[in-house]
Amino acid sequence: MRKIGFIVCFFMIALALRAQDGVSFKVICNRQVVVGEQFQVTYELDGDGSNFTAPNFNNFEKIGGPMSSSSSSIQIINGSVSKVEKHSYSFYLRAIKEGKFTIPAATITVNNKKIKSTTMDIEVVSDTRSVSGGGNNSVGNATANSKDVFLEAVLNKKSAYIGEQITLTYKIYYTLPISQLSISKAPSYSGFWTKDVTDNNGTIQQSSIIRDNKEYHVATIQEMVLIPQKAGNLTIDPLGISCVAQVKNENRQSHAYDPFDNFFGDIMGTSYTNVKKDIKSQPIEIEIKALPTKDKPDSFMGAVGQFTFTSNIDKTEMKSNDAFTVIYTVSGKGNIELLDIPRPVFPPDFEAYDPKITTNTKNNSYGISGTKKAEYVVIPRVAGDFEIKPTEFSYFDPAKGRYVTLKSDSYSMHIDRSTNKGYTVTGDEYTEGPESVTRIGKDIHHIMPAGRLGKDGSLLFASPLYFIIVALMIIIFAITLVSYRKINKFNQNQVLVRNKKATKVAKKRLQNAYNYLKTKDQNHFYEEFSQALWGYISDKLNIARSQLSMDTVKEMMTNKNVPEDIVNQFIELLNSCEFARFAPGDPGKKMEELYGKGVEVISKAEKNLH
Amino acid sequence: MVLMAVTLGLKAQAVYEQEFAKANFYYSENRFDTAVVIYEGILNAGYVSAPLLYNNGNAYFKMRNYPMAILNYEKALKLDPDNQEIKYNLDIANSLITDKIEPIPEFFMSRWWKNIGNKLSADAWATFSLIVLAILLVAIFFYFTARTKVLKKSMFFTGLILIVIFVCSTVFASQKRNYLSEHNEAIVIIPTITVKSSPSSSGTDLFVLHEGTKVEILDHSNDWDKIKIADGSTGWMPSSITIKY
Repeated sequence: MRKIGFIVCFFMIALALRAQDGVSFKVICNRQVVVGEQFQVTYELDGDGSNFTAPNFNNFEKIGGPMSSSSSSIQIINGSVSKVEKHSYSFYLRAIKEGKFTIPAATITVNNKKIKSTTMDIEVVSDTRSVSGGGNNSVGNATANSKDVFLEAVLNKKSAYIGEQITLTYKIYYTLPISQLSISKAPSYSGFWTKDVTDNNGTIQQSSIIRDNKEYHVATIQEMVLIPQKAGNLTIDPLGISCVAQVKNENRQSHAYDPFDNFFGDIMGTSYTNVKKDIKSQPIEIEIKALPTKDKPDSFMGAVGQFTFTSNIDKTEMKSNDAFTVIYTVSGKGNIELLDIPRPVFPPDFEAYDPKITTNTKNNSYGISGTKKAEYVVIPRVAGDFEIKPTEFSYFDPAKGRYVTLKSDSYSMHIDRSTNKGYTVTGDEYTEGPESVTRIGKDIHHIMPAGRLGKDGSLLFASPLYFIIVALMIIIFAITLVSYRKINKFNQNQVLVRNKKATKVAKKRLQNAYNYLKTKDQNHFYEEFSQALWGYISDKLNIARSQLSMDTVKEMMTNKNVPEDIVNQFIELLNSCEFARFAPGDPGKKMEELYGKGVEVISKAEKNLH
Repeated sequence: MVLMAVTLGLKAQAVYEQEFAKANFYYSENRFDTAVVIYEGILNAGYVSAPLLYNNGNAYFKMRNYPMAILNYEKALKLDPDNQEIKYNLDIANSLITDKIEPIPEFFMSRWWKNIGNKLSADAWATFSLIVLAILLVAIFFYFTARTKVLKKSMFFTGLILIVIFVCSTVFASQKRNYLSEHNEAIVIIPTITVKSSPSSSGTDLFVLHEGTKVEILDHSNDWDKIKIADGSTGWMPSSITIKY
């Protein structure tokens, strides 16, 4: 594989598709790659775009990406400002088979338009076609034995709980001198949170060890702390390392024409060939146990390890609206970066801001340890005595296999009323909304003038006075009604008497009239006769004499169901009585006629008026 | 004997009315604490009126003791429910306390009923009902003694209407009397209190009330009150932290 000297040609495609004004989207990669080689493919966009869609790299193995990066620059040329933005999306691919392929186009949305990138043809050449390079660094024909250099992955535990720290160490064993160590393939560590804790200050410590009756040099090349995130049997992928081993040349013929080899071989007695080796660690399985659900405290928030929990407060006595600080600290060994410190329960009316979280960790091969602090700034808004109750922090101790709950201190707070809080001074309560300005000048109405006072609890309703008044009213009502009834009854009796007497009186008057008729005393006759009629009707109908008139008589009689002809006769009689007095003619005959009619009408009326 | 007692009582009342005027004077001189002492003295002597409570509330308000101001305004409103000045000052005082509780809207019929009831004081309703009763009795009298059918008929309907008015005003008067005599409203007077789900300090915390908040007391058990706030939430709190009125 004389690849080192191979001139890698990066090709920028000048045929950048100028899709839109000032926007070009093109693909950049090597023209030619070797099977198994990693190479980079970059899609580059001049301008601003979104929704990058990667193509399918069917003929290649995708190792990584897309990794996006962007840059922008502003140019001022002759006073005109132009902004240049560049976005690029890179993929790492590995060529897997020989042939000519096309790097497909990616799409991206620019100004709501989808544009396609350019494509590019790429040639994948076979390994054997490796082009020649520098002699000394040439990689020989793989004669280094796998026994000579190998990689071992060591876990410090066979099984662990979720969240428990595991240390994974990669050690390289070698008998041959090696150089140019580099990681060719890093495992994905899926299911784990990882932290590289390799303690190399630039150098690799090596030691010797006898293994399988062979002396090896051992160097730790990487140490990782793994924190499992899910339960089950997880497999850690192998780590790939590439290095160059110096292999002693046994077959000098093969390099007979190599002047350098000959040269060095001659000097040192032996010749070495640099052999590039790709070595892999073995995949390892580990059993991850779920945390027990039994006895799991409510305050458990994922902390696994060994911890202490403390709290600090800067003051416990203050005025309202002053701030104080309280710090909750978790320190110890474990997944310190992954755990949460439970939020303390502050009394209501304490305004607590989001905590400031600071994490300090130390990493070494024993795992991660450190402290995590949550610092709360709290402002009590009202005065009073309050208690900040202890906060519980729980963690799972994998060594003991059980949960541990710690409690912070409780604090009793004494808050005084703030002196500068008042409604005219700060207008604190009025600060919401724009109307606060107009409302600050608002004040209560002035007092009312002094007036009459009442005895507390003295009410009129249902008081004795109330009942007395009600009783009095009802009594007065009853008395009035009863006495009215009595008077009425008496009057009724009077009417009855008059009614009874009416006929008698009328008869008497008619008798008198008759006497006057005999004596031909015209004046007295008519007087007595009309008196008899009017008196009779007055008594019978119970109407006062003064209210009597033809109309009332007619109305009243009709009301009393007296037949109409009788009423008419009666009225006619009364009329003729008035007229006859002054009418000419024989007075004696008229008087006699009238008298006869009067007796007849009264006797008729008598039958109907009762 | 009775006459003497009445005159003595009237004399005491006159003295307190003078005191009332004196306290008002102190108030106008901005000596609110002195005014409060006198107002409270009058109240402790058993004399009361809506203006007295209102002025006392104003004095407390000026001293920035909003819970006591609210308590006095509420008491004053109880006596004179339709007084706009009391309502106005109570609103201002309520806007200065911590708790802003959204009251649940009342059914419109009961709101109307309450509005009508609030138009008059308890004694005014009682007097009104007596006057209506008197007119009703006159109407009944005329009904019985009416000579003509028209008069009888009109008196019958007048009577019916008067009976309805009399019953309503009596109900108003009696409701007012009950409202005034039962002290099932209270004002929280300590800065803050957590309302519990049961009458013990181990009960679950339900919500927090602050000074000046009005609560309705529904029940009582071993120094704990079951309370209800304007939004309808209920819970228990110690009796000692409120002043009932």
